[in-house]
Amino acid sequence: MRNHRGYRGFTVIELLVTISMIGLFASLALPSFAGLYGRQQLNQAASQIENAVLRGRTLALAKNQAMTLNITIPTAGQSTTYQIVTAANAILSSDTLPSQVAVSTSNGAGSTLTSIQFNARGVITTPAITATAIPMVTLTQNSNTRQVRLLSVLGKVKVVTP
Amino acid sequence: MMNMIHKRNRRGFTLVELLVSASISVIIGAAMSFAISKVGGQASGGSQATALSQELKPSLDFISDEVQQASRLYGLGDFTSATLSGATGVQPVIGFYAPDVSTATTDDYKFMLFYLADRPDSINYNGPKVLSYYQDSTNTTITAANLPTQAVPTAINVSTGRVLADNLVAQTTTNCLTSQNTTNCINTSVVDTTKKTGIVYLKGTTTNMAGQQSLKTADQSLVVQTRITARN
Repeated sequence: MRNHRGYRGFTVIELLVTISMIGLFASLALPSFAGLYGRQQLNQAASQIENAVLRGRTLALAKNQAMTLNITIPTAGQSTTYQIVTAANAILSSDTLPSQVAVSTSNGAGSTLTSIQFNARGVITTPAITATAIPMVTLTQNSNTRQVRLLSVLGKVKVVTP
Repeated sequence: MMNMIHKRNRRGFTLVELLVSASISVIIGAAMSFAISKVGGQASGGSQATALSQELKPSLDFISDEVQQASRLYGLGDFTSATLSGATGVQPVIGFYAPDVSTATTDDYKFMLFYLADRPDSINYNGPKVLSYYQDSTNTTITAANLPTQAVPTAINVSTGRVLADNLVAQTTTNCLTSQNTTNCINTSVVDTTKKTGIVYLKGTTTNMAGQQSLKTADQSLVVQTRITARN
């Protein structure tokens, strides 16, 4: 009897306790994973806007001509489009944000921001970026929000979680 | 007897053994993570400084581009009697009259000023000071004959100034004309007596988590400079 004790395996009680503990820990950990995909998509959208601003400036400098980054916000549930166009309206770059991400904009002076204009030297002329009026693109998905803020006329961008 | 010993060896670890080894690994882990975090902190200070110099470079390029249209430069010493308003802690860096290209009149000039001001909030900007530029909305008529003696405007309101860069430290000296070195002349400009050429110094600072100036002197030593020439 004693010799066989080591090979007896687990009792039902031991198994139940283990399983219920795994279940308990899993249910504690699960909520923090639930929004992971959504937040990932939101961060992705924020860096898309950030990169579009940098690309607008780079294109203006590279081609030595004025560029405009247009942000077109459609009705709810549709994808927001953003395009970099030349002064002659030639589209150099066009992309969309995920349709689940809701977009709103502000030019820092009480209006919406529909376009960011770069002059031929890559300096943002519109909107006016003053230290107290920060233009921004606000991205929202479920209850998460990211603000892409335009901080300098030389294209410095900061993504903020308000 | 032999059977007993054999069985004992196969029994696995005792509770005490497990506790001792677990506590040893916790101690080693804590020491390791402390060492790694110190290395990481140093590396992030270094990369902040690199990022900062990359950020200040376009500002200097922008200044030297704009200055090329100018006929005469005004350095820090030329602003002693000017009243600067529109932001808190305004400190002039460099100013000049640039010809207004939007009008056909050749004598029309607009005053342009590059200046430092206190950061208005802690959310958007880092460092104690932000570099901005301001362009006068009204034209000043200056004839070629008057240009050499033209003074800076007596009152400048920079409330419409556009931001170029943050992470800058405040000026510590009011007159750099006699001390043209990077120790004294930080975030300022030196203009020579011909008023045609000058040097702009910008001194950045790496910041702590709150976006305030780092207190380590090694973090405050980043100075970028450019020689500017008024070509007009």
